[in-house]
Amino acid sequence: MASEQALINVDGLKVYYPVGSKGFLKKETFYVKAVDGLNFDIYPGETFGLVGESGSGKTTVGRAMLRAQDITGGAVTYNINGKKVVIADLSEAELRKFRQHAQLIFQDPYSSLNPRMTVRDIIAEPLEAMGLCKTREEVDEKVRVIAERCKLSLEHLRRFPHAFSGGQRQRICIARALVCDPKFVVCDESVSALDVSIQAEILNLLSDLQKERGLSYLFIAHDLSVVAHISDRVAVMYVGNIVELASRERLFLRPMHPYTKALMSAIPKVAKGEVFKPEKLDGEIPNPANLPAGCAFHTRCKFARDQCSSKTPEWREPEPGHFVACHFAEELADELAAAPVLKKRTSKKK
Amino acid sequence: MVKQNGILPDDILCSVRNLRVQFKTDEGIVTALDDVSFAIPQGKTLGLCGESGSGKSVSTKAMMQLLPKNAIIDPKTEILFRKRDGSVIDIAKLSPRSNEIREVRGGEIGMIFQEPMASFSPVYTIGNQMSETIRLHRRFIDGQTIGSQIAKTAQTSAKLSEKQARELGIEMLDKVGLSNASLRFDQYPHELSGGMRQRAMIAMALSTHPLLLIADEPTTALDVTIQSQILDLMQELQDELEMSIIFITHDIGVIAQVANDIAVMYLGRIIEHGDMEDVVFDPKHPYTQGLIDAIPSLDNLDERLKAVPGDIPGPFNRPSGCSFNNRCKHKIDGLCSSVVPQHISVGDNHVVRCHLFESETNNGQ
Amino acid sequence: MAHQDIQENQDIQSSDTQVEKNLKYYTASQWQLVWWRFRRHRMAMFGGCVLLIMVVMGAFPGFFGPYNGTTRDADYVLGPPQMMKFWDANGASFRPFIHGITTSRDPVTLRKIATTDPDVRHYVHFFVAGEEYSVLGLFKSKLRLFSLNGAKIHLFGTDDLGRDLYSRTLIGTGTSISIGVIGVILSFILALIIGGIAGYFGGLIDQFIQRTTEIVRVVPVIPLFMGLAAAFPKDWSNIQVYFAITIVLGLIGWPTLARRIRGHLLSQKNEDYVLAAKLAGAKPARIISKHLLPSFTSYIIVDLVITFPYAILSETALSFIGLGLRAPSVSWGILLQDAQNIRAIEQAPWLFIPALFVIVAVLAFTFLGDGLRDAADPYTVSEG
Repeated sequence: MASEQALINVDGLKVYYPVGSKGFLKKETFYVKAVDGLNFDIYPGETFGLVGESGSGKTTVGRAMLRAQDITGGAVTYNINGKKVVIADLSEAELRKFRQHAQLIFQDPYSSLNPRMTVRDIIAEPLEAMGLCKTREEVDEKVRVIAERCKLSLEHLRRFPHAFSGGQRQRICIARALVCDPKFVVCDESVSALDVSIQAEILNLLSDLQKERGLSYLFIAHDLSVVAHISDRVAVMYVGNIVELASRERLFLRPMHPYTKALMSAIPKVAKGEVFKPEKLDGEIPNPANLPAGCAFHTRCKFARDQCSSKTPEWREPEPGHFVACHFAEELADELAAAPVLKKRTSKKK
Repeated sequence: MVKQNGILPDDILCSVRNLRVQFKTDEGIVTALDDVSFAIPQGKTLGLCGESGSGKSVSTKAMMQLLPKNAIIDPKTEILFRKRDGSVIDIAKLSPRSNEIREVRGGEIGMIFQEPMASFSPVYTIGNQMSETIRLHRRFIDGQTIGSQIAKTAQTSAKLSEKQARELGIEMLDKVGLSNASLRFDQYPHELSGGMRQRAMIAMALSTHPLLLIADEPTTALDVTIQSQILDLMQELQDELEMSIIFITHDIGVIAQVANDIAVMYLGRIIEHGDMEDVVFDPKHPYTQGLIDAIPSLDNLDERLKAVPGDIPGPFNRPSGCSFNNRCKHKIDGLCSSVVPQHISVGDNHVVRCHLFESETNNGQ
Repeated sequence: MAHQDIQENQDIQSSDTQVEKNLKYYTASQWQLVWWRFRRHRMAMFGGCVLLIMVVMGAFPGFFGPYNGTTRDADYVLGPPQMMKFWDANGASFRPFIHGITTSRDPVTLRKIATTDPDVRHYVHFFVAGEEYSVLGLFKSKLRLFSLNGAKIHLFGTDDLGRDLYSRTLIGTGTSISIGVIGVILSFILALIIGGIAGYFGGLIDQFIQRTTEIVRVVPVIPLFMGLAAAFPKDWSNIQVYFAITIVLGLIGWPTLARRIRGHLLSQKNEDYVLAAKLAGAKPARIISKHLLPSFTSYIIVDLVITFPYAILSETALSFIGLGLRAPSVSWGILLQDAQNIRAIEQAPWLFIPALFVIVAVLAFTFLGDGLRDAADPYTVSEG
């Protein structure tokens, strides 16, 4: 897939936050490198999963791609209707107009809806704020259509957010994000706050909407199983960098980075017949302001060698479509695939 | 699971019967828990599984008499607990502000919460808060601090000094795997990461060697790699201290890993209860089945996720009869929406509250 | 804790009795929710009613009081309050009356003494024509709520010039409350602009405004007023002095309100729904007016209601010490000036009645503010 066909091209994306400075005249400033040089593309109609733990920077990536967060370095380029748009170069007014192409669904369905507006007004906000429709009837019609698609009745449109449960509010958020027909939607932990029985419903809805409308999603989550279900390709992040990126099947069948393997193994699962004990990963997630030298993961990696503590691994493509940042990816791939992800647990019956 | 009024079998540490809790709100009286009964065996883990509105947190708070003022506990409720000295008390009869309950809280029953930042005061060091707990509940007898042995008879005893409490605290922090325990003891909660804070909270809760630990979603807010560490830690400590645990979570995967018995709650009732393997691999209640089917896993990536239809009703919209009937695809018309199902035994130590399993032999058990 | 769990079920299987209630609750706007919660506060409702009564009576003192503020009753100087009676030794009566007064002069002190004559009745008539007065400065009327034919009635007694205290107190109520309210509204407009800019834009602008605010707050009020009182030209009419005082109160009162508004803005600015509005392409003007302002309007109203008593007390205090309004204007402070001496305490304690009005008004505002504050944010329910 050539980059020309990509909907979004992310090139060397960096987001740094300055924290404190050294020296009397503030000569040296320290930075938290929340996102440190990411390269990837998102194609039309694909779900790009982004998974990572706290401090990985995944939320920052989502926000930076929408320019809801300032970009310190690199470029995010959109390919809309044949035209290339570098989002950092847009003026404030152009950016506001651009918003119709890229939207965000928040994690917390309670704080992301203005409690003082009716559901109809909330969903209509993008249309009204950007002046996308000529008449009020047109707005109402679009709101009705998307609300019905998200299983919200006309009756619901009259109500205020406090009348709805978490799952329903999330559906309102989805309706709001899709009413202006964007091409790209960032789902920032959009199902993490929902109960399991509701989560499945929302994931199904998101998936259906994507197929119907040819949307692209950046699906950010910390739960690997959820990401796995909805994504076409998955990128794994660790303190500001992507450590592995591959298609879903490749990633789970044949991971090349020890951290990916550790993440997969850490999930307590219930599979047919046996209960499996997760594999432990020792150590703490490093503080992004004070990263280890060389490979950020080497302090917790059981395959670490001398090189790992001094040289930062390159972002390489050992197999087509499968990117990884590890010195020993090819060697480890076999080892990681061979070791069982799932280990049997000794029975607890005493 | 036969329980008798007022009597606690020897192998059971705590028995809750007919727990019924209502809240007086501006909008009326809300029933949060309706006839909940469960037993916690000595040294074992009970998993309480449920989604929002299920009442799992309310049950454990009721066990510690930590409910807000507008809560009403039904007088028929019995919460029998065997204390360290062997006596059996009924916590439901204790007043929330009495000295007896204060002895039990922290000393005999420990509790850890979901959000470790919220349970530590940000203005005191970890050590300060741990010392407070330790000095309140642990005693100094015969020149020896009561530490690793559970003191079954602690009669006249002196309070521990600051120094002794500090030693014990640091020992505990070390035991939970915090590196540099003496340094951590003097740090403030915000100086530790989420995982470390959770460990510190476990250390604080266990520093009094409680007989029962109530863990309310302890790993939900943690990263998955840290979660597995904490779960391992809890199991090690449980083995060492011969403690019972009530583990509350909505994550079936986690519960399957730690629990011996599981109770599944829905809208204030336990709708299925049994051995972990039975409930997780052979769930009988349609809600339990739905819950397990809805979990995304790496093994069924290509299948569409199976959602449980409908939404969880709010406490004022509690359906009559079986509380799950409006979402159940096996609903029996006329029966399920009017009659509350009884506890029906479907196996050895496996009980379900569902009309689907009613038959002459099982009725009324 | 149950509040956290109030989620409504959209499915059809809810009992009918709940459906009606639920529907009203779902479609209730913020203001309706606030009103419902407010209604449950008995003290606040009571305070609100009391204030309403005071405002109405103060706005139409000519109607509710029998006399104008400067009318003197030479026969009843420094006289005690007269109660309307419904019966006396001579029998009962539907129509209330007071006993007649005969005045005589004390031979020793040469003071006029008024003694009641229990055999003479003067009946009280309602909705009668009395002295002419101006309604809200717009038109004239003679209609009074009650009055006497011939004799005079003084419900609160009279002062040392024979002026009816009841009528004057009503006039004073109108003056004091209106000065307080207008002054606060002025402060509020200033605070909204200044605090709003500081809160929304942040950064250097915020810093600059903060320091300015602090400087204004530091200015001591009494010396300022002394200076201003000296600066007011002596030939200014009472109306002009009235407005000048109001403006001065307004200019001094804005820092506190500005700080609160800034605080509200800062707390709401980073809420998710504001970011959602930005991502929906909303311009700053739309975000401020449609999203931010409504989020704290209820808080602002509470702030205002709580500030009114301070303004009223300020005016009262200033007039009391002679730095505010002057005679023949009537306000609570001016009325209380007459009570400022030992003679008042000894011989004419009824001159303190206006103080009761001050206390009641401040308490009523406080209760009202409390109730509003508790009801103010129907969304303090934290979910999740």
